Amino acid sequence: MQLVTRTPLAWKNLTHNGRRLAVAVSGVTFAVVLMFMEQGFQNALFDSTVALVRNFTADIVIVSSSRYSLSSSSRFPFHAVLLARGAPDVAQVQPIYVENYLSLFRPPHRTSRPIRVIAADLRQPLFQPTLQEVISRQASLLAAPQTALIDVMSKESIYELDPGRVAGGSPEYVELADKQLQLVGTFQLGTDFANDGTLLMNLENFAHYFPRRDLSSDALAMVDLGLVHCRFGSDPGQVRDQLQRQLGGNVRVYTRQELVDKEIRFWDRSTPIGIIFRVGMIMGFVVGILICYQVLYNDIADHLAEFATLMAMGYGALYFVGIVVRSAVYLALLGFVPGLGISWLLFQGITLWTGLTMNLSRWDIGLTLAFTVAMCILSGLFAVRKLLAADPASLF
Amino acid sequence: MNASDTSSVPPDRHVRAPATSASLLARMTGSDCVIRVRELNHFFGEGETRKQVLFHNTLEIQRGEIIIMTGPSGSGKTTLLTLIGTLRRVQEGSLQLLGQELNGIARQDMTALRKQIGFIFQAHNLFESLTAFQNVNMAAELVGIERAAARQRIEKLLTRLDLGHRIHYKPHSLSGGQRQRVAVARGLVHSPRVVLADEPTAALDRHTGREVVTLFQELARDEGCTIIMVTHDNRILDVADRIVNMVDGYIHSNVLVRESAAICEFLKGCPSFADLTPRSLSEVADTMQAVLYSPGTVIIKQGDVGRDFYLIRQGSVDVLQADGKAQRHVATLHEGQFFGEVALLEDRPRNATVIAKTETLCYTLGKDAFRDVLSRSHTFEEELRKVLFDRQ
Repeated sequence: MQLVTRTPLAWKNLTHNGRRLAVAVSGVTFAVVLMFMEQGFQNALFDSTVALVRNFTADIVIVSSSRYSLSSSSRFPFHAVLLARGAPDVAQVQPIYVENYLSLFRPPHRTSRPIRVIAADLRQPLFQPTLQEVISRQASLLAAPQTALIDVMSKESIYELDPGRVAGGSPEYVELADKQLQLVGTFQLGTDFANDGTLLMNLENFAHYFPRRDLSSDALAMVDLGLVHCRFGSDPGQVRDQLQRQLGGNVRVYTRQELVDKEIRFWDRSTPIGIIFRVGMIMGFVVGILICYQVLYNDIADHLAEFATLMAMGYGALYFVGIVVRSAVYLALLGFVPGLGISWLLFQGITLWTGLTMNLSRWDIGLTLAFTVAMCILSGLFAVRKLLAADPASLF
Repeated sequence: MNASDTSSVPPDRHVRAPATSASLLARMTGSDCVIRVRELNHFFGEGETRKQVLFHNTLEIQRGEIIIMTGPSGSGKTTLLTLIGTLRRVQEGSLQLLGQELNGIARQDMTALRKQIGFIFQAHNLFESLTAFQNVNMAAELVGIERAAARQRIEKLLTRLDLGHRIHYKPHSLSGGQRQRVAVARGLVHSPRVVLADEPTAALDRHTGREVVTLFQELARDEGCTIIMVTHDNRILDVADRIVNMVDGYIHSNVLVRESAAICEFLKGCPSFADLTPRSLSEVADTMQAVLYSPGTVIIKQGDVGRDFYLIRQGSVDVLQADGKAQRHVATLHEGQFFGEVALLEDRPRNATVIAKTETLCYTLGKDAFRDVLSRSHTFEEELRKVLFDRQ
């Protein structure tokens, strides 16, 4: 049985009718875009929830052991920070405070909305270079009382304030927790599921706005995140284990990457979000199968007499399976390339539009390509049954 | 005449077949049988709606023969053709193609067998996406003809079929007749041992239609290819070695055209038959049975009741007459001569014994049929008596 003949019948049949090929390819392209969009949204949402942690430079992060997600508000006592500072191989420990509930944000004559407020000792280098550079440049402004930076990605539609104006150099006066606040500059972090905008301020200012946090008399007594920088040359894994032993069961100590992974896993597995996107991806896959099946089936149905003639001539079943699978793979590749291009353009648009950063890793692209090829081959195998049922006896 | 007679062994245990079926003559001349159909029945449908479409079909086709199958639509000729072409499964009876039994054949054997068959369908069934060359090449590639050889052969065939200037055209820019000829080339390119063609000349004009059948004749003659055509095209009937006529699922007649002509020629050689119209002559020829006798066989015995009239097709016989105690050699008869008529004419016992001298093929005509022929020709009896007189 000769599997591959020199006459490229699959390709010739597929490309013979230009209009039909265009319809077929656009069908596959549609499915590819659908799958890419689902993946892009999922990535954007997962990436956004961990954008803050990723922007830190710390090797290790300490959180409360009851903090199941970064968006929850379980805290641990400051005294753990002090303990950690004394540990061997630890260079520095900085507390980070995050407030999402008490922090009602109100531009003049507008409605109050909660905003995320992040406070840290901003004289210390805590962030990745790009962000750190922006913050360091404005550090002197932030030293003044009742000042903060606003995230340029904060949603204008929610806060009724255009962060771009602040970025343009005109400070804005707003209210935060019923007290006056001056927005002196901007930085860029991004929004996520739980937060529509972010303010960044100094510890003193934070204490000023939220003096009775966690029913404590000391505003800074309860810490959200403890950022640990290890001494140069030490192993973060070992330091983490050591800190965990030393600090006890009330806190959990993670390396930064572990915390990122745990957070993504939480959103992916413990909320419906992961399933929603997976279902979306599967829908794209199924739509692709239906479209591809329709195309391949019609192609076979239109050439049934010709295929039956080949059968009469002595071409075996394997040859026909080969023809259809090859057509399917061509279709998948022809549809994938424009699908990738269109998705990329859409991602650019959506990033501009929503503030979510849409990214595709090489792994995502490879996965979608594999899905596309699988989708086409699967529908090809459904369609080939029609071909194998062709009866050469009907030709006479 | 029903061709199924062939299989019934007559009481005298000599091999017997219709005179115009090629089998016995072929046995004597050493041709080989490419297709052998025996007691083939075929049914369509299942259960209540099951309907028999082929009844006791028996047929032998030799290497290099050109067969034309005729018959009204629904007579089963295409069903028989698809069975021969392995496109349908044999249900009942036996069908041997190129020495292989098709009843119960394994799928892979069937696929292998198909590669030795050339199909030419009435609908051209060409791939619109492939050029004429590529369409024909699909058949060449399958049997693994070397690339350059295939190219040469395809170009030669297409040129021969008047398509030399259209070799790299796609079907949509070819006329109906041109497409049909591409399909013919595709059916022939791989030098098949059997060609099954359904109205191969229907879409062709007189000139190109003739070119196609001439090609068939060359293949049959030079490559020993056996060709079976279903056709209603009267213009090409003359190429047939044999015409098989089917009616209602039975092989109604199976006439070896040349043999039929040969018998007519023999019969006409006798002045008494000259009076018959060619039509009556061929009817007589078609009614005759062939019987093969080995040397020394007593064909008729003096004193027996006469049943048949004999024409010697091949071989020779001795005529002996018992005269008191001694048996006297009267004559030796050869190809084209006949005997056994006296007993039929005068309704009396055989007046001589006839013994096959060599292996002898005789064509026989039963008494009733013989009398029927007599009544058509007023001079026949008279002439026959004269012949008999001369012989004595």
